[in-house]
Amino acid sequence: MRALPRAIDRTGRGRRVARGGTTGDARARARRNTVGHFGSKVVKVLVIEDEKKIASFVRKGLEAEGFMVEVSHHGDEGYTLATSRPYDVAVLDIMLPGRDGLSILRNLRDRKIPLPVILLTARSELNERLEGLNLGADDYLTKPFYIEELVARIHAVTRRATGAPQGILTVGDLSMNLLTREVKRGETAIELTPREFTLLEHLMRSPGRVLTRAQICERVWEYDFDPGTNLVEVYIQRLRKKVDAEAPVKLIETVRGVGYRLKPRP
Amino acid sequence: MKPVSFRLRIALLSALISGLVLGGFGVATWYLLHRQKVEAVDTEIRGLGARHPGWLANRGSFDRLQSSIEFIFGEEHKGRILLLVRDAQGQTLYTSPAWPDGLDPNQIDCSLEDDPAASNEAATNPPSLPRGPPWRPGGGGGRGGMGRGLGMGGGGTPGLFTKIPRFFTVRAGDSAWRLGILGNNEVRLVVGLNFDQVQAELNRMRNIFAVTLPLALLLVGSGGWLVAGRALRPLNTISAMAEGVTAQGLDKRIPASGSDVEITRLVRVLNGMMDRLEASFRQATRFSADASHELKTPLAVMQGELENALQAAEPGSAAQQVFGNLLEETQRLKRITRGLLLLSQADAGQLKLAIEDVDFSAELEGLIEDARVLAADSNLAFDVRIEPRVRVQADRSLLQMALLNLLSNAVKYNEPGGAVAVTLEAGDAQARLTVCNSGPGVPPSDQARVFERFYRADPTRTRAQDGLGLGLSLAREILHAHRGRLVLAESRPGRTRFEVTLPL
Repeated sequence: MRALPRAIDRTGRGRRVARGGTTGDARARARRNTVGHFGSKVVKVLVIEDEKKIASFVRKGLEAEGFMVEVSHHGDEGYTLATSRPYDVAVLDIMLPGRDGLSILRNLRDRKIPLPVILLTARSELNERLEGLNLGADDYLTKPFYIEELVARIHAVTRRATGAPQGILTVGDLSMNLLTREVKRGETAIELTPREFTLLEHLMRSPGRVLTRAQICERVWEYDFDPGTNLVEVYIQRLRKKVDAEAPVKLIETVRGVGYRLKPRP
Repeated sequence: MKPVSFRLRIALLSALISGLVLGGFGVATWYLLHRQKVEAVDTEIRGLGARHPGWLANRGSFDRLQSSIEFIFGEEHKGRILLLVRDAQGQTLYTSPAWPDGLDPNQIDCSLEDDPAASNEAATNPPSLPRGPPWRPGGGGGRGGMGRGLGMGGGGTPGLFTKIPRFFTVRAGDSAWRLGILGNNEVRLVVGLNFDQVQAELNRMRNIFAVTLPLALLLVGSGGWLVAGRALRPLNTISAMAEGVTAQGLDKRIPASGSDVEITRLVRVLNGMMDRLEASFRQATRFSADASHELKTPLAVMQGELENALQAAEPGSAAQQVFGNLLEETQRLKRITRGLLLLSQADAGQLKLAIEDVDFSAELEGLIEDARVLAADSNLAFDVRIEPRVRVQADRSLLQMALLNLLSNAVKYNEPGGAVAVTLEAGDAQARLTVCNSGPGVPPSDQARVFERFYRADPTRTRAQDGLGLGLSLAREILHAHRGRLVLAESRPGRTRFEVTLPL
């Protein structure tokens, strides 16, 4: 149990101002202010995961993104927390000691608690995944997953839960309509192929975050296979031509030897 | 050696053995019969000599003797009995009129050994004259009964002939004659009986045997075939069942229905073997499934921690690059783990498919777009012919994995300036995809091994060039799970063609 996450968050925010955002910590906190919040409210996440090390990196990763995180390692305890405190989203492992993830979900829905739920599953648990969605899970993630992906899912789920507009992603003067699939830089419309669109969407969902080539490959191409990182480079170049060539501010940055990211604060 | 059906072998073997037995039996029978017939004729000749001693008593009336003999045997036997009388000096006293032309009486060797018993007897008992009339009234009949009325006189005729009689068969013209030379110190009597009838009888028997033997062998052979078929039926059932035992159906067992001790034992032994096989197979697949499952958590932890560290590190710093590299390697580990899990599931026949309606054509177009990007460096020419809107029921992500593997191989194992050709067409019941490239090809000795796990075309190739050694075998398992097929249709320098079929 983490005491007073909100307080820590506040402290962090204060420190960022003081130190000018030069260290890694500060950068994380800088993002935290833009990402981990929805409106002015801090998003509260309940993570129920018995594997302590997984729970630990999830907590670290989500906190770095500005979320307020509470972790439980036991199904029954997790269920009690979920019913007794106000969370914005719950991240549920399926295999748990005590009550398993699906039972928690079922019990929540039986008690008409509309807490958005993201399930963590092993890939082999195909049936459980489907059962989870039928029981009213909002989304699922397959282990091993990227924090960045979990963050994106949490955002989508909380937006949906609060009825906020979900269809538009904006980074600086770049905007993307997920429904009409229109992309605009300022007032200029940009034509993208389906792959380019998915790649840009992926970058825009995690602005400021460094994404490795393999990570991009896995998410955009959904390949469980290494087609060579060359593919990512070529598509990034194409995307740059369309998105950045005409603009004074280049949004797509190369992080040398690591990967790419979208400039956090253009 | 080409394997011959056991059933056929049993049939042939039983026919062969019966053939040998029957043949041997036939030959022995024929030989005994032949000897018996000859002896009967010889006895008859002796009898004739003994019953008609007129040639000794009445030297002048050989003609009468002849005619009386003919009277006994009937008209039709005229010419079937030969008589030749010769004195001790070799002077021929009488030759019957039927004496064949081809037989020179002078050529007949009439020398005889003394019979010690007969000469003793002759000394004590002077030759007696006929004991009874030479024929019985009405007994003649002449219906070919050569032995009739003669047998009792056979064997010996003590006193009359003091020499040991000699018998032999001669051929004269078309006929065979059995000649008997009887005699005492003064006279030699040569009595001949026509042997044709006996010979014909023996020949007939031989012919009957020659016809019936193959028939009998055929019967025995087909009997053997039927019996062997019956005996082997449980074996056929067992092999049919054993064929049904595949990786997917390892739990199948042969029902122990037969009442035969041997078969029951065989079934028990086979089932026991299958139990052990199943146990070790399950253990092996469970092991790799468990292993990849167990690897998931540490991988998830590594990936998560590395990702956090990467995000927290100074952009472009050495530390961040290290984290990035480690993250990519984690990715590779994840893929291998996933591949192993899929393969172990496929081995156990439990590859889980999230089946949906997939636009094969569109999926393929997208993958080819990526393949073109991958091929940009080596300047490959693409020849793509895709029939639009081919839809299949498939697990989209697994199908994509299999197809991408084929396409990226076609790009990877190509030569600069080479070509990649992809065709997709929908037949009646299946979609057919071919992926050709102009690479150096797989050497013939290795073609059967390209689908093996961790197979590498060239052991010296680096990993970067070769990707995962699981790709092709995984692709094939995925297509099998979709009731499809993946084969290396041809491979020679300049042309390698993979073929995929998927049911529509």
